[in-house]
Amino acid sequence: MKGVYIVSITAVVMWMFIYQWPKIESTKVKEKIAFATLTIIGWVVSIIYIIFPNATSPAKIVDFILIQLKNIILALF
Amino acid sequence: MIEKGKISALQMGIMMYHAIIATGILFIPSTVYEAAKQDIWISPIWACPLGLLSVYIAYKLHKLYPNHTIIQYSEHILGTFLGKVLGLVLLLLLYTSVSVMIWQYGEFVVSEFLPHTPKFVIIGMMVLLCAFAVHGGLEVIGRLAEMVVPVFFLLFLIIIILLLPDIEIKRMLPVMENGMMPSVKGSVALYTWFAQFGIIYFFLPFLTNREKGMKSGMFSVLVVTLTLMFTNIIVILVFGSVTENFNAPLMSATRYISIAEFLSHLEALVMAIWLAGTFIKICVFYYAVVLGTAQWLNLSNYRSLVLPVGFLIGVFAMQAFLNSAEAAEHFRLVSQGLMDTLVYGTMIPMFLFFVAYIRKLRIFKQRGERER
Repeated sequence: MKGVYIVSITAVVMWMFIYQWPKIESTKVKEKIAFATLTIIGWVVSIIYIIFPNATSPAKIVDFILIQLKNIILALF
Repeated sequence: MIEKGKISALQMGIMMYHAIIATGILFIPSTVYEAAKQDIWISPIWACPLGLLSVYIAYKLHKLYPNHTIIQYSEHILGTFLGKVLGLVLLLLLYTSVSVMIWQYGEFVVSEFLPHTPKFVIIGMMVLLCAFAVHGGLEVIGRLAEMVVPVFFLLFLIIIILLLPDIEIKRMLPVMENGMMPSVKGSVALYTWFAQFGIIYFFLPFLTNREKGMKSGMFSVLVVTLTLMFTNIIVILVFGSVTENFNAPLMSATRYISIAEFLSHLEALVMAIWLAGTFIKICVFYYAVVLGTAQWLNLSNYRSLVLPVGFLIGVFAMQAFLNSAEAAEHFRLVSQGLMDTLVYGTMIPMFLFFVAYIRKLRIFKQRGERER
């Protein structure tokens, strides 16, 4: 089942590349780098989440950091 | 400038109205009820000043740097490096915030309406739809928001009128049984919604009538307060002390409508309102994230980033919480006054505003010394 998910996620990412890449003007290297980097980050993150379904998420990390900050600030007073 | 489209101040106000009320109308009553009991309808009044403050600070910063969004003027105010760091923090908070919103949408649709549809289909469809709107630009989102407003108010009014036979005034009595404090405590949970008004710092530079920006922002805050008060009053009048047993009380209240035994099952109306509003809400935040990312990277066009950013927030939304228990823990923390929206909506702009103010004072002082 994981294999199916990985293949379909890769297909979605490929589709995004095929759709968007020709639309970025060839002179704009920075846009191309930004697009490729963000897409690859998304692909890697989704693969990690498929392989490790219980991995933590940004929302929980932000919660954790805010709790720590709150404790530090409360300890000051 | 990166965005060539322009919207009017009123369109911005309407966009913000949807961005706040879409999730609020369903989840606020039961969240606030825990602390405020039968006084939940007073809580929005105490939370309203925070929304006004967020709008005021965003507008003041906009006055200092009229053609820039927060990502750009944070570099002017704090210097390139610190500005970039602050921008990155802001963007990461926005990414997580929008992923939680999309998770809420997916979870609600799955649990209430489409229990057999896989969640990634629902989330993926919504993100794709929003991607089209965001790709169209700010004007498209502004007009969409304007288009939804009449439908929204009509359906909201219909629901309230149809609920009138079931209400009982004594359920909200005694008003302020234990003084003001319960309703003030309940308003803490509302800060997370009102702080989101700070997001207008992404839209103020693109207004056609900028001087009206603050006015329509404040007007939007007041209309949100009124809508929340009406929702809370009607929910408390229908359900009384069982309000907290429902995840989305307005939804359950509408399910309860049955007039002459043929006008029933009107929850589809609430769902229609809610889907339209959530669509605008996700579009507004999605647009802010895309625009912010493009400006943070100094790109000349944000449209190429729409799809990758959408993919990323879709993935984050799928994984945001594994089950409702984790989400409940998150929302419990939120209702205790620990929230990311408060950080990016109010605290970061306030910090920037103070630094900018102090720097301005110093510049004036130096000029004064030179002239002497």
